[in-house]
Amino acid sequence: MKNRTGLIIAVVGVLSVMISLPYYSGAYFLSVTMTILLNMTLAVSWDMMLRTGQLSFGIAGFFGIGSYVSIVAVSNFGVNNVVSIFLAAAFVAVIALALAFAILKLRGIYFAITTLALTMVFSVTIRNMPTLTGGSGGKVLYNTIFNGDTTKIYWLILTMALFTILLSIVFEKTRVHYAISSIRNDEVVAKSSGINVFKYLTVLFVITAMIQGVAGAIYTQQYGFAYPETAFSLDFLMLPMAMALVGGIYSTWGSVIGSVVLGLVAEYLRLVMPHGSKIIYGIIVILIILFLPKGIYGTLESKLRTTRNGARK
Amino acid sequence: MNAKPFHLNRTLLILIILLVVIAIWKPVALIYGFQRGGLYALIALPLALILGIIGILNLGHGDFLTLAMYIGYLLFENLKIDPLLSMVPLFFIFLALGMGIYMITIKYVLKSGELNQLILTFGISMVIIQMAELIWTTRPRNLYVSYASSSVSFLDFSVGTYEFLYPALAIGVLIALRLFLKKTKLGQAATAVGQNPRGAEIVGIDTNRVYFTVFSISIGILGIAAGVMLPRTSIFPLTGSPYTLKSFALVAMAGLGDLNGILIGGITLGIAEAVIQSIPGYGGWSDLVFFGVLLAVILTRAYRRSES
Amino acid sequence: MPILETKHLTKRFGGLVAVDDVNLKIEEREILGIIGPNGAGKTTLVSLISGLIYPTQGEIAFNGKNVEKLPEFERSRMGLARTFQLVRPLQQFTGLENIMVGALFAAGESLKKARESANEVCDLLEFERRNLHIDKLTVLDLKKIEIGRALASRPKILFLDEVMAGLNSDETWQMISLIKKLRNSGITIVIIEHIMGVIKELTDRVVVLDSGKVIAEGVYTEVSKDPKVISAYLGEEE
Ligand SMILES: Nc1ncnc2c1ncn2[C@@H]1O[C@H](COP(=O)(O)OP(=O)(O)OP(=O)(O)O)[C@@H](O)[C@H]1O
Ligand SMILES: [Mg+2]
Repeated sequence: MKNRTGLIIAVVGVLSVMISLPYYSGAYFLSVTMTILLNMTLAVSWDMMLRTGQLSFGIAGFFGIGSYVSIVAVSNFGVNNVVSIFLAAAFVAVIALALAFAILKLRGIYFAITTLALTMVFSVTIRNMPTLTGGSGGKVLYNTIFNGDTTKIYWLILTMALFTILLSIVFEKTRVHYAISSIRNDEVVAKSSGINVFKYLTVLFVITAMIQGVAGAIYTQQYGFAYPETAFSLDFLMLPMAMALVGGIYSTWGSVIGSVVLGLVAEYLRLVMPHGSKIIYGIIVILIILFLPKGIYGTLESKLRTTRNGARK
Repeated sequence: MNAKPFHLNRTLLILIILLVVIAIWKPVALIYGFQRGGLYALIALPLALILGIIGILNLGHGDFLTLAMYIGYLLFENLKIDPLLSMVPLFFIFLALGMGIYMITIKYVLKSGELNQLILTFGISMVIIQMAELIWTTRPRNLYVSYASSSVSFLDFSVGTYEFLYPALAIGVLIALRLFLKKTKLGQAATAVGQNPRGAEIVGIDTNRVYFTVFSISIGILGIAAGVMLPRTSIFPLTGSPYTLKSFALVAMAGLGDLNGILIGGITLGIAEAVIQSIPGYGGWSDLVFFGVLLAVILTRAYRRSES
Repeated sequence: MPILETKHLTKRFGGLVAVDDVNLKIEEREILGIIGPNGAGKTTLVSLISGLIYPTQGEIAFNGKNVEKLPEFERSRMGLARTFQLVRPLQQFTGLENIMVGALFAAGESLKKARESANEVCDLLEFERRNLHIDKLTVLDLKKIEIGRALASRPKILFLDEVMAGLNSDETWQMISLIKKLRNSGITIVIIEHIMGVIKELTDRVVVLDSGKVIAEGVYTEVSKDPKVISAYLGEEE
């Protein structure tokens, strides 16, 4: 009971700080926070799919598609900026669903490399439809969302991040957790225990793709442009992956902690070495896999568990 | 697996018919595709070795190629080493690099599951790309040697002669690899490990040594590929990246362990790509050929598996 | 009407016929034993019925309905449950959570209800260390998880693939009395076992498989005298 009250107070506290942030933080800190929240969203969504046991490299691809749908809808068809984000979500969902029937039959390296290829396929497609997308030249947005009001954009990004975290927690606390963890642990047992493996994989794949598409749409609306190189940049894959790994995979809090920690580190690195900072993410990923495969949160959690078990004996 | 010989024959037959059609329709595309296809096969062979024997998909494959090309470029610029000659030092440099990478990373994820292996090699790939960008920037480098731009002309078109080196080298490397796998003790051990790692360990094969050798030789071969590519390729941090996927597509198409299939598949896809490239207005889509084939192949395979 | 019936059930793996034209009728509430030498096709037969693999030929009727084309998860929701010869615990979970999975999905229960059911199953199995993680459990515990997961799915028919293997004689007796309890609760049980004492003690009827074919059928005491059966087993020892 006491625990619960504490939790509620903490959540309300953090939420009010986050919501009111634009009123007392400087523009710089606000922009760093927005970047962190964007990457946090991607990290959590990547991890949500990973919990089914399938490693998806498709983040950058869905991110890019979301970017382009949103910018094309606004500048070619005069759609409202906010509506274009929902449109991006719907469009990505349809694509992901269609792809699901093909690639969710694949497992392991086959799944991973196909999702990696998707990014390439999407960007080639975008490049080759110049009348619609501006081709390699990209596209610039003239009427930005909320007339460029940073506070509102911040709230939009915050909403997206909170929604993703909430969804991830819901999936962790409900039967979804048992279904996808079983699939990851042993698909044969999952099926023989009555789990509709394909259904769960599809749901997770489509939902996480949608989140990534929305993130792309919001990013594009925030900055007002989309080029194939930036919209499909592997940075939107590498950094979120590194964040989830640093924090600890297979958990919401791991990704959240990882994105805050690595987000701040990344910002610092960007300041001290403007060009070479990205190399660090790759090195971090390698080091985590070699030395701390459970990440910060996962390691702490299992330490806690063993000490608690020890105390019980 | 049992239906293989028949399967291959039928594929070959269709292939030959297609080739004849293309030869009449677009002879330049045929020759050009044959050359590029040879290159694809040359680069895919080492990926196939690592995947088939160690069981790891090296997502940094193409990026090692990039790195080798940069080093070859440096050898040319600073020491005036001819690119074709530089294949020799590049092979040894990358053999050593392969050893190093194996000892400090790959070795530790052999038993830790596909997921960690993929993330690790993806991390390696990113590090190489970013490092190249940091040191050499994104500005493309080109290297000129006169012999690489010679060409012959038939009838009313001309094709580069230098590029015939690609399929020639691919065949050379293929023969060398097959000899290594068949005739040497270590090669036989590698074949055994590829087929049944646990069994091989039981009969006393030192799997770690096999993996070490196979990994370093494979990375070394990329040094050779880089050398031959140097005079005709623009070098930038992402030069090699597309080859990872293309190589994997070839390996998936040929089936694990079928090295000859990689050569045939490489040439087929090379030609398919060249044909699409030669269609005005649609050339940009040729990048999707490999992906299309990859998807088609692994899906039919996944489908067949679920049927049985 | 038999609860489960197979007609001309056949499975080929390349050239090998692992299950060869098997016609079985399993009556409600009986305990059927399936015996046969190693590699006879017993596990393959169970996998065909549970839906892990699909037959090359033949039909499977469960409660009069053909199920051979249905995916495995649907069959398990209809009340077909199996255990695996080599235990397959879900590594990430505790014993109790492993068992909950069956209740949650095959039986379609809510989280709360599934936890209760899983606890009941654990009580029935006398599985004490249910809240520990898999890596801290014994072989017997893992066998209990295997059976527990199947039981929690509230099966109408339960296939037990060599659940006694690896148990000592005390544990075997414990398991035998448990299976009797289960039968009395109304579940039809098919047991596959190499230990003939267990088969003799438990089964109403046995089916003998050899090289994928049914070579004998009947009560254990008679089947065990059948010269075909004896030679099938003797052949194995050579
Ligand atoms: N997936 C498979 N692919 C190929 N052959 C298989 C496969 N599964 C089983 N077999 C073969 O089918 C035959 C029957 O195997 P099965 O496991 O059903 O025998 P079993 O009666 O359960 O034996 P045991 O008493 O040893 O458990 C064996 O020869 C086995 O090697
Ligand atoms: Mg068996």
